[in-house]
Amino acid sequence: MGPSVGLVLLFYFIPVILTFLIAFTDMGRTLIWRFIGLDNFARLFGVGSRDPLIPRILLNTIVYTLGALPLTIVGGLLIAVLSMRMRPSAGLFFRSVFFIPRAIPPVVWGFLWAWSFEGTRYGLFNAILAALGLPTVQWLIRYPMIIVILANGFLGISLAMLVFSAAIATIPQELTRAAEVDGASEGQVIRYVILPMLKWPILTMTAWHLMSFLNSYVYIMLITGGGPYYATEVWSLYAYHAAFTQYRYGYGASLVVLLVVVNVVLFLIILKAFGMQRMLTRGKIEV
Amino acid sequence: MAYKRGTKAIPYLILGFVAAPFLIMYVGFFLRAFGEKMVLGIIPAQWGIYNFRFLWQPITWGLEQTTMWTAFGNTMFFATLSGFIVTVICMLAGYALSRVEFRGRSFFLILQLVLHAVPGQILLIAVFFLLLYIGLLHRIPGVALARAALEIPLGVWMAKGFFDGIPWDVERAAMVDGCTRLQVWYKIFLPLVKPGIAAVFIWGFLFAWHDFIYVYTLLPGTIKVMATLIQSLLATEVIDYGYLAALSLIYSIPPLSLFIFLQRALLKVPIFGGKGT
Amino acid sequence: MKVFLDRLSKYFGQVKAVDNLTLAIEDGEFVALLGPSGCGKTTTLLTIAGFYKPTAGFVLFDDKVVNELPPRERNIGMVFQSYALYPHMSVLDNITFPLRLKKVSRKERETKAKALASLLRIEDILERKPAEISGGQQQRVALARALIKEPGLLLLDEPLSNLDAKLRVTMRAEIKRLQKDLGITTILVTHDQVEAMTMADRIAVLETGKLQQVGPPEELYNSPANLFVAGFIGTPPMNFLAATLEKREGKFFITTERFCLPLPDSVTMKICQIPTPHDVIVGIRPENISIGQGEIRGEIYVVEPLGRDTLVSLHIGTEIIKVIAPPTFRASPGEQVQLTFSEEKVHLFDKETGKSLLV
Repeated sequence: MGPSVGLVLLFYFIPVILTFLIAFTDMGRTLIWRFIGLDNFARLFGVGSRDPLIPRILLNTIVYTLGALPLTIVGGLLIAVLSMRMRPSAGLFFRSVFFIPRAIPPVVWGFLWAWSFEGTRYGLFNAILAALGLPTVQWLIRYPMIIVILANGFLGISLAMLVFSAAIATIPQELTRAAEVDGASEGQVIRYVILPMLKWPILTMTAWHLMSFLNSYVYIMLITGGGPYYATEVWSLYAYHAAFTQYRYGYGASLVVLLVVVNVVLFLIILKAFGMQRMLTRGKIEV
Repeated sequence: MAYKRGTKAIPYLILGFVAAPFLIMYVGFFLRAFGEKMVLGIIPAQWGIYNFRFLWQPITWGLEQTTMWTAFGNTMFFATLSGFIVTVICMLAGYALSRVEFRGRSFFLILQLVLHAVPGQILLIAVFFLLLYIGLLHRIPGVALARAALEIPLGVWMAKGFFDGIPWDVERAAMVDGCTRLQVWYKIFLPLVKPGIAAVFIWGFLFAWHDFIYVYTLLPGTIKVMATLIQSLLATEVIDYGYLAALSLIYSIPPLSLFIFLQRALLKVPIFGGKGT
Repeated sequence: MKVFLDRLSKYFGQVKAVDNLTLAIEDGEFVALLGPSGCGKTTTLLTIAGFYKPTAGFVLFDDKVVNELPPRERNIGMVFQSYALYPHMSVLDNITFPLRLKKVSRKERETKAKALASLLRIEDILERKPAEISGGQQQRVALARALIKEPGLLLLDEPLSNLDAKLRVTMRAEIKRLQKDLGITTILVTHDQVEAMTMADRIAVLETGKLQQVGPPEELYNSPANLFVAGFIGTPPMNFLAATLEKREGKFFITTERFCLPLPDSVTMKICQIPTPHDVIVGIRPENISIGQGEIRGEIYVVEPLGRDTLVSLHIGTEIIKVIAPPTFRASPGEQVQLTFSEEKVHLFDKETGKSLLV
């Protein structure tokens, strides 16, 4: 018990507090603590010397999240439902193909996308286009946001699809058979039997990925680096860049603080919806 | 149950269509790693392992130089240490949360849950300062500790699940038979949750092996792990994609094989019947 | 070992799982705790074993309070409903586990295990894992493990409920015989009244955490203390009819809309203090009703031949009662019949309190 609490406190609790403290300083490359009150937040909210990039970053974050989230859920459902209604070996093959993004390291997944959509003819898809005699496309410059959404969305799909498949596997076979006897077509079985029984997994995965997409920036960093010219810079990546490339730790921390606040609010809403009490069971031996 | 032939093919067509670009990417990746002298940029004219020359040659970029084996060893050390920390802490805490009634138990469980609201990757700034102040910044053990802490909230729930799966009656039987609390732990629980221990370790190991942002930010450029090595090579002026594909392939082998193993280990967790109250 | 539960209570928050239970168990006695699920019988057993600490009251073993003693120091053996065999150990290792913890020598362990195994007829499966043997065998292994350290008290938690019906009858007799041979004090928890009746020397009936009645099986059957015990013990269960107790010309009668039944002196003696008229529930067991002649009229609802006898369901007005008739009995649904109650065997319960008026 002790070490667990200790480590969690050390690397979770203290960092949260530290983040809040740093957010009120103008900590820079020199690592000197100097409190400047609400200046960082004033800058964020456009009071006084405002940060002209903020509206852009905000819009990017919304577009990115609203793009990747439905892709993950709908895509995950589609793959799970279809692969579970196939021959088992074929279903397993497709699930393996879509699980690979999560099985390989992020850097490799990033490399795959960066290479596949490389703008010169050395990139995979451009090489194919060139081989077919078609003009090459500057993918990462013309469609950066779409590529970032796809790369992250299919990462989400790999988890969602597994969770949904597992849930479908627990639906008793009698149920789908009963529906078929009752005269339901393949599509109707999915619509009236399978999907309603996936309600909880769908809600869980939506909540999980909503938070995940709001906070994830590693893949964007690896594929586009936030560019070209802030086209794919989302809030969390902007915070990272502020701190670790521009060495404005104080400003970066204030960006994170806002994100933490949004997270906690979202999380409380989710917990309320799911009911936490049932997860806590009592001990049954009192010695 | 027999369906019309036409409708039966639809799922295959849809998934085949969605999977096609990815299959092209994966196949292209392999061709690029093992191919030499590419024709039209994608079709290898000759097979070979020239792209794997880092296995016996140092890797250089800019003015810097390292070997693949150093980076691989660093990654292995980092991931093993992190996995070990996660396992020990999660197993102890998971047992306590599953079986022992103590003050603050509910609070701790809720705390573990609420921590999910704050993903580790956005706390990086604070973790940077924390490691700096306790003198562990720029060292693999320090970063491994910080990385392990990220997996603990979920890992503890996972471990709790494994212990929850062992019926109370088995534990009660052991206590009637004369076990102390500690003896129950190592004579009964440990053998029964062995697959669980393996799963938690692999879980911690894999996340550390996959990690990019922590090692990239918290380790100096001179200590390279596989992830940061590949990233450095990607950031150079002239990119040799074949070489990078080969390096990425080597880097991906351990997690890919572990994922297959993890699936089996998880299936082996014993499942009991009975009233279990 | 003697066991004494002294005003024992166990609450879980607001729920009173066991409420002020006092029960004395003699050395070598076989006592069953009987009741429906949720009546507190398992909680009582787990408190005796030491897994739960009493909220109030005491558990005494041989006149010593053991409230604070951990299970391993109580010198008890226990068989669980799910048997709780250690899945990772062989049958032999399971049986000898308690002795290994006591650091008994390997030779002695194996001698004792072999002796018990032959007593329980499981010598052939000692090398197997619990998952590889049948439910009946698992049960015997669990018994062997409970008995090997020669405990002073054996606790059985629904030991037969996971067995099929036929095996249950066999094991019932075997466990009873084993208990008599070893002379070990035994407490059995069960929801099955047949199990309790057949195996135990005395039965304690529990309901919502409270002790309803305790006594030998015949006593519970013949003079149940209240409506709950009367309805719980016996299959098919006792018939109940709402009625009024009246006194006319010094004689007691029970009257309903349908019939009026004079009570015999043996019953009258016990109720002469009761003011009349009085609302009562009349209880009569199915075997104490005969079909043929009599004052009471009924209509056949259904006839179920059971081989040894025939179970007849009848309407008396709107109420349904069950009667055990001889195997030769024939009737078709809707037929009108006449009935006689054996007055001597009639039970009377207070309508308000449910308590028997005869004890």
